[in-house]
Amino acid sequence: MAITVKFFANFRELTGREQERIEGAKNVASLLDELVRRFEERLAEQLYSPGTRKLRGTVNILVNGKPIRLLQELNTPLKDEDVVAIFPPVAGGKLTSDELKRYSRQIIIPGLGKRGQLKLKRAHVFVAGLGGLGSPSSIYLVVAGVGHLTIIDAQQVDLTNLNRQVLHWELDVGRSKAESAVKKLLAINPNVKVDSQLKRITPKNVNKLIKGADVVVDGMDNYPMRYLLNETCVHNHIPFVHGAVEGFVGQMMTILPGEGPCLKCAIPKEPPKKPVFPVLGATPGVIGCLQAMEAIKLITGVGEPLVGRMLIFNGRNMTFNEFRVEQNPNCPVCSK
Amino acid sequence: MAIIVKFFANFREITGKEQESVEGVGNVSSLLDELVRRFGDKLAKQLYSPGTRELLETVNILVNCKGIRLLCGLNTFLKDGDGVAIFPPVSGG
Repeated sequence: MAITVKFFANFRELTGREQERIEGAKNVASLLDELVRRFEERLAEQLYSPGTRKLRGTVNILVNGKPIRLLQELNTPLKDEDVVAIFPPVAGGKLTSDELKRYSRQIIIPGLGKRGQLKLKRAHVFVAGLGGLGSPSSIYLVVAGVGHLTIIDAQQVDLTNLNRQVLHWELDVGRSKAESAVKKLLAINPNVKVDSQLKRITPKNVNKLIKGADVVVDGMDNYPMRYLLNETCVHNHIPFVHGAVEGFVGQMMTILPGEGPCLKCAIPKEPPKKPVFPVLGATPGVIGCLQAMEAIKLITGVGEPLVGRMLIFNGRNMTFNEFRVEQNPNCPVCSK
Repeated sequence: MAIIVKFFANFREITGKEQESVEGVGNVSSLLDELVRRFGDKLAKQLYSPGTRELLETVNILVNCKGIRLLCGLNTFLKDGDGVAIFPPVSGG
């Protein structure tokens, strides 16, 4: 017989397992030692405050259903057949003192405040694609304290991605982008929940994938997928933050279903697909950050979203311009 | 009154202008004729498929904030005071 450890949310992502069997651990502290031996530094980083063996405030451990802080903390004794559950706090709840400090510089922004911060903590954002746009957008969503991020990408990291996809590093080449991204994002901010999905978005699974999201962020590199997300977001009344880049040029627009035009109104027909498109990393850096900002504005209700306006960034002459877009009465997606 | 055409991204680079005022054109097709007359072959190359008068798929034109591909295409009617935007959507990510 042995002790069964069940992992949830981030811990399942990190260990790649739902549960693990451990023998011979006398208490929770020695159980964690053994887990860190098996799953290495990446697990230790999530469990302990940096440079210590003190459990992070963001980690919950239950022994046979009871929180260890109501038992004997790390000294809680264990015996064979005990069940230990390890999980991060669920998105929601109140702001912890750690969080109030971490986000203090944005909480003091007029109009954002603790209220806005709590809205961010309770929000769920879906980032479609972890490339040049999805990398910066997911980083800025995570550092801002968006409580639940779902990230999805079916691809592996390639050396040619590294000029712009800043979540993926040289050591990640060949690894899945979803796995590479979740590690970095949780290392940046362990207070949030990040679900990573190593799969392709299809017409069959898209509804289920984005269900429950408060905002969907476009990090795709082609229009068929963007149109699919646009349509699904319109039908499910989920705000969709579109972005696209090439060379020094980027574009973005926020689709607020029922309140303004959709992507199909602005770009009725997809431009021809380029198998390889030229791009400087800083271009999706600019647009991805702006997409994160839009998502944060939509969640907190701060400011005025980019609805009915297509923003065009041109890095060659450092200009931001926009033109107005209206809902097209003939739009096959958003017009009734 | 005239029609105001706004250029974006590479169209701004080709024409060297942010916007251009055009008078006396009745639809998008004749507007583009006039623009090509003013800005030359380099603009035609960015607008039309080689050797044709068919709009390239890389070009998006809006009349009064609405994409012409959901209106009447190049035959979309224009009148004084209308606003036209010409931009090349990008697709990478």
